[in-house]
Amino acid sequence: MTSHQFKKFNLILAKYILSILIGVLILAIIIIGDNQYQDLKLQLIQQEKDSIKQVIESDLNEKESKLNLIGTSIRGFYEGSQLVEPHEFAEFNEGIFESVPELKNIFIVQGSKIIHSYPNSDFIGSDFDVLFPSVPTEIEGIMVGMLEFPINQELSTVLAIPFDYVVNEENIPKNRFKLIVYAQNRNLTLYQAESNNEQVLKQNVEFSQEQLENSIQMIKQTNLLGYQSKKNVVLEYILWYDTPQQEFSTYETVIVFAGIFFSVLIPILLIRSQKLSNLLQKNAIKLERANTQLQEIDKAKDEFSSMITHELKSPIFPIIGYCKMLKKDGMIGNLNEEQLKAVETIERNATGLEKLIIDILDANKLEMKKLKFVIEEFSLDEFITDLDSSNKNIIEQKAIEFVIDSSNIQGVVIKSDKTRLRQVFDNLINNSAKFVNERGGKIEVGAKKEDHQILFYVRDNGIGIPKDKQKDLFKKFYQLDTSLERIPGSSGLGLAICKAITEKLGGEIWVESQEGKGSTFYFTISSNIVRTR
Amino acid sequence: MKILIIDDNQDITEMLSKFFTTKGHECMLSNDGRNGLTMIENQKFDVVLLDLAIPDFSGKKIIDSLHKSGKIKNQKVVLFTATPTSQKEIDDMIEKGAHSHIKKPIDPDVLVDYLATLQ
Repeated sequence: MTSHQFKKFNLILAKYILSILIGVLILAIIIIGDNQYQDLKLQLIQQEKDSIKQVIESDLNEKESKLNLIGTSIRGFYEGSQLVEPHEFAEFNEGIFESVPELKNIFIVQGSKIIHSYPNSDFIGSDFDVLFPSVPTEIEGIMVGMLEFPINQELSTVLAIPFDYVVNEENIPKNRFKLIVYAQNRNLTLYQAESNNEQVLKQNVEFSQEQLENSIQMIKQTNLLGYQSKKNVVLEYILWYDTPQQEFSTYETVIVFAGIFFSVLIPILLIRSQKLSNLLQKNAIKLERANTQLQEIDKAKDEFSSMITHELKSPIFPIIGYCKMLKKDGMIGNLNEEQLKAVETIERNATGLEKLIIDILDANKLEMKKLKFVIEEFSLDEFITDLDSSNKNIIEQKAIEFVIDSSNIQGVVIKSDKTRLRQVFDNLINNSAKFVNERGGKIEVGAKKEDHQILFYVRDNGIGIPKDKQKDLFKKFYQLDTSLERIPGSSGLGLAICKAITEKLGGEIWVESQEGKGSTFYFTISSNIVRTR
Repeated sequence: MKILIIDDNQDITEMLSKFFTTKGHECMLSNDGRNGLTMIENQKFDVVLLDLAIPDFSGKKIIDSLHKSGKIKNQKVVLFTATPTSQKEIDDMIEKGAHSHIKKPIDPDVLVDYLATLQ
């Protein structure tokens, strides 16, 4: 491979690789884009979860504050008056319960003896620790936690708070949710609730694995179980609610599939176009080569043609020249009658050959459209009158009567190609001479000036041409008689050449003939009349 | 007339020479291009008949050389061709000083008559 070819190969390879890379790139973009989209969705979900957490947390904090406030205000209440009457206590508590209606019960405990209890006064007098050995505990069927606020060295307030209080279901979005509140590392379930389209159940909540995975989990330190353990406790919240599935939406599916489709289609198209381009290039090169070849052949043909022309024409010259000289007494010695006849035969045949060569070469030139025309002014009647001299041989040989009629064109000078015109006449006269009989043959030639053209004719009284053969007469290589007995020396080109010449000179050629009676060949040329008389 | 015929074909030169001589003209020949050129340069002729298709040293080269040396002005050079030389080339050579152009083959009588008119 030449270095140029090598570079081209590399270039094409690079284009293939590039096409594939583009496909891979599109695919990568789609996949990365989708990943980003997924990540974004996850982020959004996470943000939502976080905000819910925050809401729950702030809610819890708010409630803890409220409860703290209650504790503080009760302490304040007791500091205000040493002895509190039950009805005073009741009045005060009413106010509290208005503020936090969810409270289950308020106890005032001295040591471990319950000295006050509102609203449930049944508890008064009982031992707190006996009544409620552990926390959380149940009061009238409701799970409560106990929150202690010391008043003084003897007294403390204990608030019984239902776990419902610290779980604000309003803050949980969606219709479907599940919530469990654990304490002590899930050893204690403080609260559970499950909702399904507004039906809320408060028992036996279970999470499926999937739900657990999609749940919000919160750890909250609180003093809700403060009493008895007297320390902050860690609560664990597990909340699951209806989150949008991380499934592919229709939109996403379409984009991804479209992306995959294009990531395959585009490289294929690019590669195909590259292949086509390669093919086109190869074909272009082939075409160029073929074209060059053709040009070379053409050139060779022209050179061959030139050479042939020269080689064919040159020998004729000395043959005819010497024949002429031999015929002239004294030029190259004297010939007797027999020798003279022989020389005449040689000359006649050489002339025929010359004519044949010229016809063939002309026909070849016709094909190549190289037939040259030289336009000049000349006198038409002089031209016509001269016609007998150029065809002397054949006329004399067959003793043909040759008649020229130039009466209609006296003084007419035209502009045309004299040589080619003569060529047409010579061809027609030659033809006529071939087809007339040995004795009594007659050929008439003449011309007539018409409106826009000159009409010429060559008439003979020969054997004529059958009607069915007349139409093909002017075609190349057409001969009336192709048998072995046909008249020698005809190439079938003469009339075709006449036709080409007359048409080039702005006219037409045709024949009128009857078998046995003779033929008249008519032809016209544009009359570029320079002057008349 | 003193005529010089330059053509690589010996038969043609001999034939024409014989013809011209019997008609009473003086005729010299050359079958070689370079030799012919020398003859043109060194002698005066009434007419030079120059074949264009001479191998090795063509008639065109002879014309070019004569044109360059200016010696073409002293001679009447008639171009003689059998090959279909382009009209442009012929015109070119005539511009360079060739006199005229005749096609081969030609009836020797006609040729002689024509050359006579050049005198």
